[in-house]
Amino acid sequence: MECIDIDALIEKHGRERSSLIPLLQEIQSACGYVPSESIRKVAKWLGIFEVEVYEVLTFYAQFRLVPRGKHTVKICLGTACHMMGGQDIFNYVSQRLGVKAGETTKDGMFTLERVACLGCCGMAPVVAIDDQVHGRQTISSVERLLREHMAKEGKGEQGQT
Amino acid sequence: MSIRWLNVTIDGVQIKVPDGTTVLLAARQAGIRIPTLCYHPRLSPTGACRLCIVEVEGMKGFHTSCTLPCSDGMVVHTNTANVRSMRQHVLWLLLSDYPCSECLLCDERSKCDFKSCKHDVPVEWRCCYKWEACELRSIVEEVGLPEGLPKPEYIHRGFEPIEDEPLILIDRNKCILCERCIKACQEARGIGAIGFIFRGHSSFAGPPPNTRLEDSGCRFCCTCVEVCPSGALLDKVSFDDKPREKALVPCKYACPAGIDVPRYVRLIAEGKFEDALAVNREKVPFPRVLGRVCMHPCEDACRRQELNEPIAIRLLKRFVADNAKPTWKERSTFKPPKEKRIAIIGAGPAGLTAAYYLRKLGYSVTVFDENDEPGGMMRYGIPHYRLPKDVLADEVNEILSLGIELRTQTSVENIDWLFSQGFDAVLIAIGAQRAIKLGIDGEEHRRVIDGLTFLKLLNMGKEIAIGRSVGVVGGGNVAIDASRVALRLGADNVTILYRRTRNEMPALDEEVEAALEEGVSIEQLVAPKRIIGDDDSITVELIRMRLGAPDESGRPRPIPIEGSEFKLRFDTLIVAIGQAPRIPDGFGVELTRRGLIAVNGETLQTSRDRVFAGGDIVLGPSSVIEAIAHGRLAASSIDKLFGGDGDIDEELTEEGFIGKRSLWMGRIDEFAYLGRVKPRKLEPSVRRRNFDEVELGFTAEEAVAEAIRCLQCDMRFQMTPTPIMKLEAALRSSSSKR
Repeated sequence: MECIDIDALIEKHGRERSSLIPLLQEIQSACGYVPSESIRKVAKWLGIFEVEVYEVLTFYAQFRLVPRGKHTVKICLGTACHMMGGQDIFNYVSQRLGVKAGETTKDGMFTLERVACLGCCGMAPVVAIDDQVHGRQTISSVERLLREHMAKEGKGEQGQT
Repeated sequence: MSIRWLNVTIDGVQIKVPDGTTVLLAARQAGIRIPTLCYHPRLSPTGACRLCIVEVEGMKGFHTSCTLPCSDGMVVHTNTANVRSMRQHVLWLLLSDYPCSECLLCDERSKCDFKSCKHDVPVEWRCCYKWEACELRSIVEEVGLPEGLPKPEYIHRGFEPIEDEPLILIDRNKCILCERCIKACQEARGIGAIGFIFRGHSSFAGPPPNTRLEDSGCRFCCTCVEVCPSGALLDKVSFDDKPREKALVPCKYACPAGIDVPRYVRLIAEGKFEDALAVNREKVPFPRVLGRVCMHPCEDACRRQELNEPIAIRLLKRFVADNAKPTWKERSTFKPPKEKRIAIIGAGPAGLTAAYYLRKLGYSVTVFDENDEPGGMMRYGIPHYRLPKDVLADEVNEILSLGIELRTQTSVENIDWLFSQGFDAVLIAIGAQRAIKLGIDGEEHRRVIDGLTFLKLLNMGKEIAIGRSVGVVGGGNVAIDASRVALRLGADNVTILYRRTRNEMPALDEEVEAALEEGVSIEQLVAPKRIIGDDDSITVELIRMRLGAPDESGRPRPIPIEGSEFKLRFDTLIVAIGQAPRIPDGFGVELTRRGLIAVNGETLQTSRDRVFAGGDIVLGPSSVIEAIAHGRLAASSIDKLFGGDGDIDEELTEEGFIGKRSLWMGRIDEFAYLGRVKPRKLEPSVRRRNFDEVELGFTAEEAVAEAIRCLQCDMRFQMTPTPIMKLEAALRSSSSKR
C-alpha cells in the first residue's frame, strides 16, 4: 500500500483483540480510509476473521472503507442548525453532488458528511468545508462555496456526478 | 480440582448446581421453563433477545438468565408479574420491527389458509412456510403481548430481499439480530463468513458490505439457515411433500442403495480412506465397479451445482475402492448357517448382491447363469476400457468366496424344477437381455447387428469384422459403448444416428463427451426408415426429425419431416435402441403390460409364493446401482419370509457420523470457487485404438482436494433447534394447504 507500511505498523501492536481499534485508527489517519488489503493483514495478525474487523469498522462512524474525497463537506444537523434549515441545505448539497451522507463523488472531489455539532451554534446553520467553517449559510451561499472549490480544482461544473 | 457446588433457589425449588452454571440451565435442571429466543444450546449465550429475563433477590432490575451465572445462596424468580409484563413489552418492541407481526398476532391465525388474507397484508410480510415450526411464533404464543397497548405497528426497514445467492433466501427485514447465525458461522463452524454489519436500524447479519456470500468464504453448509428462528434465512429448495432431510441432503437419498454419500465424502476429505470405503461397503458389494460405471444419481442431485460443478462422487468412490485397505472386513458379520436353500437365477449385479447378503445371513445360496462367466451385464454389456475384466472378477470372486455355489452355462427355464431340487425360495434376476428391433425393412441383413449382441461377442473374445464405416442407431449408453468399441475395432468412420438431439440422449454426458473426443460423430434428429443391403455394405434410408411436444417420458417427441429422406452407406449398422426381457414360460409368474415381471414394490415378491424378482427384469433396462438396490431388497424380503428380521444393514466403521463430530468445519478462502478436479485420462488419440482403461482415477491428493469441495449439507442437523423438529409436520400440512 502506498499510504502506509502496513507490516511495520502492525508489528508495533500486540496481538490481543484490544489492539484492533488503535490499529484501524492509525491506518485511517495515514490513508484517509481503511483499505481492504490492510483489513486482511490486521485480521491475520490478531487471529480473527476478516468479517470481525468489518463488524467493528461498520459499527463506528469514524471509520471509512472507501477513500475520502479531496474535500470534505460537513453539514451540521445539530439542534440549532436543524432549526435554522440545516436539513434543507443538506438535501440540496446531497442532490447537487449526487451522493448520500458518508459517500464520495465519483470524481473523488467531495465527501459529504452530516455532523451533530461544530460548536458554533450562534452561527447556525453551519457548513464546514475541510477545516474552514462557514456560518449563516443559505442554499445559494453553499452553492457559491462549492463552485469556488470546483473552480480551484479546474473542474468547473464537472463536480456533479 | 474438585467441583464447587452452589445452592440456588429458583421459584421456591432448591437445587444444587456446579459452579459456572447459568441461571437458565439451573432452571431447566429444576424443571422450570424460561422462554428463550436467541439462546441455542450449542452456541454461547448472547443475551440479545432479553426474553429469558428473571428477577434475583438482592439484585436490581431484570437479568438475562442465559448469561447470568449462579452464585451460592441465590434466590431467583422466573415468573413474577413484573417479569411476565417485562417480557411482553420486550416482545412488543421486537415485533414492531418484524414484518410478519401481523400474521403472528392475527385473530385468524389458527385457521389461516395461507392463500387469501382478510387484512390485506402484503405477501412479502406474511409468515413463511416455517409457520408451525417458527420459533418466533411459538414465543409469541407462549409469552403474549402486554395488555392495553395497541398492536405494534410495523416499520419497514427497507432491505431488499436477496434472492440471487445460491441455496439461501435472505430477507434482512425479518432479521431480529439474535446473532445465532453469526455465532454458528464464526464460533461453532469456524468459517467466519458473516458478522454484524453496520449498526442500529440498518444493521444486518451478513458478509462485509458489498460482498456476496460466494466471496465471503461461505461454505454453504446452511447451518445459519438451520438456526435462524425468524425466517430471515430460508432454504431455497422446495420441500413439497419430501421429508426435510431428503430435500436438504439430496445426494444420500438419490442413491437407490442408500449409500451415506456425505459421510464418506467427508471421510475422504479427512484422509480416512479405509473408513470411507467401509461406508460404501455398508450398502454395496461392488464399489470398484460402481466407481467406474455408476450412473451417479447422487451427482445429479448434488447441491454444489448451485455454486459450480457437482462433487465427483463416483470418482471418489473409485479412489477408495481401488486404494483403501479393506479394514471393513473385520467388522463384517456373518450369521450362523440356516437350513434354507435359495436359488438365484442370473449372476448379474442384482443376483450377486442378493447372494452376498443372503449368504451373510446364513442361507445356502446357489446362483445359476446361462453364460460362461458371472457378472451379467457388467461382464458382457460394458466394454473393458470402462470396466476392466479383472476389476469385476475381483469383486465377483470376493462374493463367491463366501461359499456361494455358482452354476454357469446353466439356463433355468422352469421354477418348479428349482423347487423340485429342494430350493426353498427363488430370486429371478435375469435382466433384460433381448434387443429391441427397429421393425423396418432390411433389418435382417447380416451386416445389421444389435448393440447388446455386438458388445457381448466382443466381451466373449470373439472376432468381429465391422468394416471401416459404422452407423450406430440409438442414444443410450449401449449405443455410445458400441460406437466407441467400433472405433477400437478399427472403424474410421463411426456415426451415431439419434432421433432426438444430444441434449435428450439418455447416455451419461461424460460418455458422450468421451466418444466425441475419440472421433465419433453424431447425426442428430434422424431416424432410419429402411435398410437396403448388398453383399458387403448397406445403405440406410433416413428421415429427418423435428422435436414436438413432450411425450410420456417427458422428453420432446420426435416427429418425422415429410420428404426429408436421405441415404447413408455403412459397412455395418449397429442397432441399440433398447432392451426388453425374455421370460421363459416355465416361470409361471404374472407379467406387467410392458412384459416385465410384476412384483410387490416393497418386497419384490412375484405372483408366485416364495418367488421373488429384481433388477432389470422388474425395472426394465436400468443401472448397476438400481440392480444392487433390488438385490439388497430381495435378500431382506427373503430373510423375512423365513422368519428373519430382514436387516442387512451393517455399521462397518464408527467414523463420519455427524452426531459424533465436533461442530468445527474451518475456513477455506474462496471455497465457492474451488473447481471440480478432473480425472486423468488417456489421450483420445492413444485410447481410441485399444481397450485400455480410459479413466485413470484420482490420486490421494486429488481425491482429498475434490472431497473438500463438499458442502457437507448434512452437518446442519447437528444444530437443529427443537421447534424445527416439528418442521416436517408443518411442511406437510402447509404444502397441502397451499
